[in-house]
Amino acid sequence: MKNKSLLILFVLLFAALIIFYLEIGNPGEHIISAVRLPRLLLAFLSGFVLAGVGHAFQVMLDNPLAEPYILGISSGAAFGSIVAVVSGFFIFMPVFGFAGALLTMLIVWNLAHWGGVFNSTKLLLSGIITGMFFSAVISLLMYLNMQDIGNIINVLMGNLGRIFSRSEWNYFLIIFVISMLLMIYLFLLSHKLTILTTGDLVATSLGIDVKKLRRRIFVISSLLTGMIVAYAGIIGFIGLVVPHLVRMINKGNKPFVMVVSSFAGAFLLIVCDLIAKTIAPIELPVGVITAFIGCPFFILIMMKK
Amino acid sequence: MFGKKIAAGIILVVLLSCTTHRQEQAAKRYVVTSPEVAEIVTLLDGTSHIVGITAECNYPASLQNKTIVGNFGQVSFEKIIELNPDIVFTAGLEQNTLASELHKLDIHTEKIYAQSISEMLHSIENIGNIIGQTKRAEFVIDSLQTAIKSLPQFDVHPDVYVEIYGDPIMSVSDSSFVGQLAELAGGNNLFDSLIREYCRVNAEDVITKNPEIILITYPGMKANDVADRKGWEVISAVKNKRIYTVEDVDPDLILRASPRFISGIKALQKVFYEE
Repeated sequence: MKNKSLLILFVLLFAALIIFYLEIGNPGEHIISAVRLPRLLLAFLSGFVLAGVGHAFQVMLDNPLAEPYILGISSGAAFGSIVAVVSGFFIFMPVFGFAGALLTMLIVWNLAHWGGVFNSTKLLLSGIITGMFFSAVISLLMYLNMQDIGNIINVLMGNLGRIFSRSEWNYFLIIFVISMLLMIYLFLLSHKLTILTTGDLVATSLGIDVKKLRRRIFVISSLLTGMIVAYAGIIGFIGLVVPHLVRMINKGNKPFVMVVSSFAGAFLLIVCDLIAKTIAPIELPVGVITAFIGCPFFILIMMKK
Repeated sequence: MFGKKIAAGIILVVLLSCTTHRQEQAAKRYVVTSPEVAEIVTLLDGTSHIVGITAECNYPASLQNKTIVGNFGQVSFEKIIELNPDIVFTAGLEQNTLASELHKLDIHTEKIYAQSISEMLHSIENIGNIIGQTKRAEFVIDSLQTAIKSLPQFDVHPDVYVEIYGDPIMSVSDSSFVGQLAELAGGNNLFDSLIREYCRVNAEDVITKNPEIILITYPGMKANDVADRKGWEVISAVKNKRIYTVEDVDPDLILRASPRFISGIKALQKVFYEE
C-alpha cells in the first residue's frame, strides 16, 4: 500500500517535472519540440541507463562502490569522442565514442580472462587498469590540444546540450529505441542477477549459467554505457548513488529495484540538467551538479548503514 | 702636430661610437611568442632582429625561416634560452608562467596582450619605444586611425551571431577584439553583453535572437553543417543562406589584435552588406 502510494506520487512528480522542464521560460512551440524535447530525451535515457547499469554492476561485482564506469568503458568512450574532436570531426563524436567503448570492452574482457582464470575481482582490476590507461591518454590529448579544452571538459564532466544535426537526430532515435530494448532485457535478467548474490555455487546449483550471465550483463551494460558516454560525456554519481537510495527505500535486492532505479535515475538527471542550465549565467557541465548532489546523498547513505 | 693628434682622437672616438652602436644594434635579438606581436614587430622594421617565433606566427612570409620555439600554449623554455634573446615578447593567458620563469633568469620580457583596438594601438606605440622605432610606430598608428575614420558607414545594422567554437557553441561579447570589429563593421553583435569575452551560449538563445548573419570563425565547420542543426532552420540567416565561414572571412584578420584589422573590418563589411 505504502509502495503503491509512493509509486503514484513518483509518477505525478515525474509528469510535473517534464512539463516544467519543457515549459520553463515560455520558450514557444518550436524551441520546445526542436531543442528541449531532444535534450529531455537524452537526459532521460542517460539517467535511465546509468542508474539501471549501476545497480546491475553493484550486484554482479558484489561491490557497493561499483558504478557504470568502473570497468573502464567511460574512459574508452571519452577517449574515442576526444579523438574525434582533436581530429576536427565534431559530428563523429558519438561514432568514435562508441568505437572507443567497444575497444575497451574487448580489452577488459580479454584481460580479465588472461591466464585462463576468470572471476569478478579480475574483471574489476582489468576494468580499472584499462580505464586508467585511457585516462592517461586523455590527459595527453588534453595537454596537446588546449584549444579544444572547452569540448574536452564537456566530455569529461558531462553535457546534455548536444546540438544534433537533423540526420544525427534520426540516428539517435534509433539508438534510443535500441537502448530501451536492451534495458528491458537487462530488467528480465535482473531476477537471475539477484540469485547471483547468493554466490556462484548456489546460483549454479539453481540452474544459472553464471559465466554466461556475467558475460551478458557485461556486454549489454558496456554497450549501453558506451552509447551514453558517446552522446553525453561522463556523468558521475547517478549510477553509484541512485541504486543505493532505491534499495534504502525498498529494503532489499528485489528484482524490480533495477527498474525503479532506472526511472529514479532519469528523474534525478533531468533535475540536475535543469539546475545546470539555470543556476549560473553560463551553463555548467551537468556532471558538476550530479557530483554536488550525489556526494551528500552518499554520505547520508553511509551514515544510515 | 697637435692638430694631427686631435684629428686622430676625433676619428678614434667616432670609430668607437660606431662600433658600440653596431654592437647595440647587433645585440637586439627578439623572441616573439604571439602572432599579433610578430606582425607589429615586422611592420616596425624589426624582422631581422626576430630570432625565434611560435608556430602560429605565420604572417608575414618573411618569418618563415625563423626558429620555432613551440606553439602558443606550449612554448619551449629551453629553446628560448638557446637563442640567447635580449627581449622575449610574451602574450597573456597560458604564457604568464613562461614570463615569470624567464624573469627569474633575468631575461627581459615584455608582455603584450591587447584585447581591444585602442589597446592594440597602444601596443604598437609600446613596441615602437622598446625596439627603437618610435617614429615609425607613430606613423603606423596615425595611418590606422585615419583608416578607421575613413571606413564606410551604413544606416542598416544587421543582427550578427559570431560563433568562435562549435561544441559547445561559443560566441563573443563586445569586450572581445572580434566583437568590437563586428560592431565597427556595422553589425549588431547579438551576444554583446556576455559575461566573458568568449563564452558558451545556448542554442535556444541563438534561435530566439534570430540572427540575420551567422559568422563561423573556426575551421572545420561548413555552412551546410550549421544549416543542418536541428531547430536552426527557422533562423533568418539559415533561411536566407547568410552563413559565412573561414572561407569567406580569414579568421586571422578578425581574431588577431594586429594592424591587419582594417582588412578584417572590410572583409566583414563585404559579407554583412553583400547584395
